[in-house]
Amino acid sequence: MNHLDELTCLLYLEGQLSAERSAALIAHTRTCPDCSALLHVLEQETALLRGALSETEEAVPARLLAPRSARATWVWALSLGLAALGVFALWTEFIEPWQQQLEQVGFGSNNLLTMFLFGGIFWEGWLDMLNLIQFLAAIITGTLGLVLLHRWLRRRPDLISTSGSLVTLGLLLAGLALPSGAAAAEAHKAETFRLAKDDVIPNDLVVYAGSVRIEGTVEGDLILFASQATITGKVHGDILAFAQTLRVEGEVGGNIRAIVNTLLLNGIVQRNVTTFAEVVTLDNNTRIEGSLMLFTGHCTLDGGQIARDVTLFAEQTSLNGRIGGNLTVSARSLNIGPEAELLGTAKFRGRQQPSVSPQARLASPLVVEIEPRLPRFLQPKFYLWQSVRWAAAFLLGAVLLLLLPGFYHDVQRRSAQIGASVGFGLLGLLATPIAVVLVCLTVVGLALGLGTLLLYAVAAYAGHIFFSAWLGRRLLGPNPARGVLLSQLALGLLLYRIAANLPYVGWLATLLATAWGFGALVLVFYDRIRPKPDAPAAVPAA
Amino acid sequence: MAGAEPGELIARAQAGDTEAWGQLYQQYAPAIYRFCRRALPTREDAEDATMEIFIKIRERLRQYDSSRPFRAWLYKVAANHCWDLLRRRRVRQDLETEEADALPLAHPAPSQIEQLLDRHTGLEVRRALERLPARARMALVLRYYAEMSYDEIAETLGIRRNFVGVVLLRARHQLREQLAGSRTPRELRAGGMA
Repeated sequence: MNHLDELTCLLYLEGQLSAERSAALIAHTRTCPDCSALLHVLEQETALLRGALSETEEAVPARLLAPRSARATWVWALSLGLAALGVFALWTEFIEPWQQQLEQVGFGSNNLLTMFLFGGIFWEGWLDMLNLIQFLAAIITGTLGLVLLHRWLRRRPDLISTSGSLVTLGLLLAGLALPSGAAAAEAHKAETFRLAKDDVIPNDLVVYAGSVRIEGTVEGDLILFASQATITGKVHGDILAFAQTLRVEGEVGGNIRAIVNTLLLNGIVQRNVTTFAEVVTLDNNTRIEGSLMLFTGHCTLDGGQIARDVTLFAEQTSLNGRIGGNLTVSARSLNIGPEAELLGTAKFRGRQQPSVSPQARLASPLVVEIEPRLPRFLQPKFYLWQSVRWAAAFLLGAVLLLLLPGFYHDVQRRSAQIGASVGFGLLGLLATPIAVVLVCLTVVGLALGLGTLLLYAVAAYAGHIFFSAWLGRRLLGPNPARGVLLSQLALGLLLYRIAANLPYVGWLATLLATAWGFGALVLVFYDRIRPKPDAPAAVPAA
Repeated sequence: MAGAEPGELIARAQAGDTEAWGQLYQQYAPAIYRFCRRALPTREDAEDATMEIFIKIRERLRQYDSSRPFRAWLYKVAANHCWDLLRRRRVRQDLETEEADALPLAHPAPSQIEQLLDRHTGLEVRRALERLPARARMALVLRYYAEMSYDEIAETLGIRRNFVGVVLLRARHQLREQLAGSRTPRELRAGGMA
């Protein structure tokens, strides 16, 4: 006699066989004790499984059942309070004064994005590169935040209509990004770009190239993304440059705003110059009719004339030219040479006494303010900035938690895999910049490289936030309430701030926390983009 | 497993009543935690997953169709979440090809199975379950703890409906292998397992 197979018996017990097959099976088991026994034993197994799975021998962890505690509420309130304090301090102490400063040097009439772009970096000064990364991260995060906010609003038609939010967002971004009086632009992308001497571009010119040479005339603005850029011709509008080296020997009718490694100026600028650079050199023939504002490592004004105010944030500064307005220098060292001529007031703030040549002509005495060499832990500014940094990180973490809760939890989960997170994190932190540099070397990859760099900056900045969130959860225990999650984040960030400022080992704590969170982030991205395994092939029905 | 459907509580929670949501959480968190505890490898994973599932549930509560049993809906969300976690975590070792040929369609000796079942307690079965591959464990939990239909299991695990029986039977085989290879109850008691 043929026995029933086990699968058929199971399917019968589970009610998955057709009535016809069930009847045949029952008929068979009446005459076959073996198959009847098999049915019985499978039934027993089902009962054992049901019983084993339903037993409640293990208590549910108390923290999962704990009501939301009052403690969580006040920690949350405290966190928000501190964040608000940080933002307030940031605004009143830094942004507002700098905004006024910027308006004085000609930024008042420009678009809001420019204002934000150049105003934002003043938050912590430019000498600390880490802050620049944080700033870039903030820009990206802000953009992401707007996009996510839009998505969120779209899911809640009761709050705002879809089309309304889209239009509002679009208008907001357009208002921020478009320069006043935007004109038509001509864009070029090439390995090398040269505008010959007699050539005239009647519009704005946007160039992405390895090497750029402008010998002709650009009647609008000139926007450059380049490795080497030399301008010997004439630009009637502004120059906005992102370059390795920018050399301006021609004439610029508007402003120069540049984020470059080296700026060499030996021409005429009718309005203002604002630059973030490692090295800035103004040669003899330089003439700036507006103001000069520099954030730089080494600044040399080797002759030349600046008609209005000069504001410098630099490591080392050497002045030997003519300044028509006021001079304000915040630097480690200042050297005023014999050819220098200062017609306005002069103010220096730094660590070392400035060196002023006796031949230098100063209309008013140089006001010197030497920064006290107090340990940084004794300076109120230290605590202010720590709270500002804490608040910025907390706000970003809170945004991520509220807008992307699933992603936030996935990263936390990955953070628990310490070895993988830290390992991938360190690898990613080291390898990404190298890859970006390699990609940027090819002109085609410049945009890709810069884009990757920005994402990298955001991810690296977010790394310590995710690590802090994980740390907070380890300490306070898991709890799904949002208030508690935010409290965990607040506590974790506080502890991270303390660890990162410890003498000698602070850098290690920073690196470890960044790598840890960064690695977890990378792993979650990998989880999400890797192909899912295919569903297995079907088998014929029993 | 069964419980009264707290329709009014759900309606209030859907309307944004946080107190009602708190009560729902208190009422269902233990069941969801136990589900996760059965489906996921460690206690910590289960705790984390429980929290995350409730976050999802809160976000999707408005989508809940009150004509369906609430508990079944909860288990569906929980099952999808846990399976998603397991799938992401797996590094291929658990991706059985699951060909039908691999499953013996033989008629096993009922007496041997019976002996095996008689020798083991619920605790031992749970311990053996923990050692099963993710899909096998998940299939058993979905069927015999969450009482899901074959259609729901197929949907959750991403397999064809016709294949669910094969997965369940293979899971039983693997469980029996684990039980056969595990220590006897006496040894377990001597090892201090309560």
